[in-house]
Amino acid sequence: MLVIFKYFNFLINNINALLNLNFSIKNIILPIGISFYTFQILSYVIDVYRGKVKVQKNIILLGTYIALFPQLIAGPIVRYSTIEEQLAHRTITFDKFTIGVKRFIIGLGKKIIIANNMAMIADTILNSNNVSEYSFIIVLISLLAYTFQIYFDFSGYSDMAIGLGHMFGFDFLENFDYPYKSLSITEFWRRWHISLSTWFKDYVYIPLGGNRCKKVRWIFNLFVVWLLTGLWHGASWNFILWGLYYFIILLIEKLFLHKLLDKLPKLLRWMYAFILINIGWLIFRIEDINTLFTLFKNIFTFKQGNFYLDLAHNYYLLNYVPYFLLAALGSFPIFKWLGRKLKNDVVKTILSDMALLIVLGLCIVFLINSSYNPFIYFRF
Amino acid sequence: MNNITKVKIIDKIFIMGFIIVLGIGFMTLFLPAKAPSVIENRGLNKIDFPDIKAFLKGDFQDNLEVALTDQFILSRTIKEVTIKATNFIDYLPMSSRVCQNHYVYLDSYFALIDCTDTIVETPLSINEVKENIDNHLAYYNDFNALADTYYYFIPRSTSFDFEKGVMAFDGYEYLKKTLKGKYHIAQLEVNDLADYQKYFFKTDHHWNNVGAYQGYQDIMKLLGKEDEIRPILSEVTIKKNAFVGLSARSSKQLRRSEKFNYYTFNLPKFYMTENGFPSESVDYNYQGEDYKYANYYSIIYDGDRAEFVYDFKNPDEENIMIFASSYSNPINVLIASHFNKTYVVDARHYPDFDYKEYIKSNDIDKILVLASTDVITGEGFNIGDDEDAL
Repeated sequence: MLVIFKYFNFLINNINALLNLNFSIKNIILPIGISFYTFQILSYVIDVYRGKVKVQKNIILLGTYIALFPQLIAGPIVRYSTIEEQLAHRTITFDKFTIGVKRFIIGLGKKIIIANNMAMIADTILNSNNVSEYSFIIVLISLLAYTFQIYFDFSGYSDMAIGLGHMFGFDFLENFDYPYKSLSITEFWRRWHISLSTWFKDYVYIPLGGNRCKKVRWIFNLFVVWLLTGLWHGASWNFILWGLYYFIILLIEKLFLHKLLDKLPKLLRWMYAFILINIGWLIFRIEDINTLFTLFKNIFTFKQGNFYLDLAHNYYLLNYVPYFLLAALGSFPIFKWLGRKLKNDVVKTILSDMALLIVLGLCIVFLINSSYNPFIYFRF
Repeated sequence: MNNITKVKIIDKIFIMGFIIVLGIGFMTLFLPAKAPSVIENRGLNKIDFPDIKAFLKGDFQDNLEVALTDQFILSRTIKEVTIKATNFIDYLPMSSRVCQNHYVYLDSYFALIDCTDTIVETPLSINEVKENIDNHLAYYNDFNALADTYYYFIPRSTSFDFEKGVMAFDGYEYLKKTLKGKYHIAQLEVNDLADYQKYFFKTDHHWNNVGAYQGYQDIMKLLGKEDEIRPILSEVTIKKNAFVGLSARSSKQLRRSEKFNYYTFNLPKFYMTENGFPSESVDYNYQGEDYKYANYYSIIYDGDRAEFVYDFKNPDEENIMIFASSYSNPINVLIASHFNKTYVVDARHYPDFDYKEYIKSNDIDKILVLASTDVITGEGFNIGDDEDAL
């Protein structure tokens, strides 16, 4: 199903290009969230086959698992085993509902206040027709914006899903754990999209033999997992390249780099990981390979544009400085740390509840502003 | 009362706050829809009655999302206040800039000419619009065969690359090169930024009273009626509110404004119809509006309509059709005063405009095409809904 809906056009395009053929392509509409619920269904079928879970004979409960709307379109990938018990017997309490509401608002804030504003920067620069003219600093700013955008967007959706789950009495597993504080790429993948990486580990990597096999086989197993991880994100060569990029880095880390990294100061290790993560996101973001190489060229040749001119062209970059700061703060568990510092539970609750209501209010303001759209005959 | 109980009470208040916010959103569904937004120059989206077909297509959900943000309590105030707050932050970096006539991009379409307070649209390239122009040329060439046809090209800011000091798209030369048959053509002479600033608004994409009057004089010369040019009676400035044009509003530059001036003229009595119905003539004694962000260009010169007909009861004069856009609004009545009947057609609003039949049935002797950049590069007919243009 996933091959037909998601990869068929990609396959035909490549076969046509490779063999100089001209197969016609049907316009196949990609159902929303197909990658997520396909993996959920797969996990259920495999777990039933393995005898890890019982067959769900109640169609309503099975349907609820497959089409549970909070996480249907953007994850996390919820294993059947996680909510098997909750499907039939779950309790909705005021405390759980409150936790859900709070988590939902945090997710909404991440998406509306940070991710959407970061997208304005990233899209304006990276979608521009003249990316080759931008100086490396401007490209780096846009890349950083995208790095924050994708994290706050995706983790925001996960938070909203987990929050909605709580409201309905479900306990979904966490999907992100401050991935940008990672000190290595191996650690990054333990903290990023946890439900996907554990899915591939349990249903692809370990069945292939994991690391309990010969080195060549182990490398092959890693290669397959990262090729599939890349492909899962989209039917395009840049996603495959992105998957293979992580395959190479993780292989190098596991072979020898990890031991070297351990000897370095934490700041250097963090910089190493964060720079590589950013490069990875550039590969992920730019589908056109020529544009991707142009941007890499701009960065690695330190292309000198007229910085003043770049800023003048994009002076509104300065308006986004507060969002960058907020994103940087939100990427580390600073608010959790502050919460732990406050010993008085009453004060802590008052402050956090007020902050969340402000976030909710800001989200509404941002949403309303997004519909500001004066009517003008413009390049009609 | 122990801490656990206190925390529970605080959380209950929090949940109540959350429910109130949701409740306000829900109430929006049942409150009477708001009037059009002046600041956005458009009718606000209204919440549709649920419809299964629209729901299955997803149209209902899309509309609900837009309508909720449009109709939410205080939405217009929220937009204005937040945009102004953003503008305040904008002014800090903007005020410390070295002036080099750079384009300072405000969004994908609008840019500010550094240190001039002039908002312009980003330059067009011929490749972007060639197909559209060629579509227009097909019926322009028909016009040339059907009547005595005159073209007056108004270069909008999209025609220029002010940063490089060159023309990005020379519509006048393009028309001269590609039009076929017999025709007359002239243009508003705009050679540089100084000319542009003289003839156009700083905050709006239209020409100002100076530009429009220059256009009127050029057109009269083109029509061979330079001896009949009407002199300006007076220049009036709207004092009640500053003019925040559509370019400023579209690019969220609400702190930028300018004076709105218009000329008055002595005109003979005339009769006017608007989309076939009798209409009031342009009010040259206009004294201002009570609300901010009023679109004075539209209020004073009349908004865009599919058809205006001016009848000056001059049977000795010819009938003319002005193939118009909003650029013609300030001078429609002036031009019309030199003819018997003047048919102003804005083809963007005219459904299924059959120009051959129209020219024949209205006994039109002359056609004046006010070929502003947007008219000759736009997609053409039937692109607008009459009610959308305020």
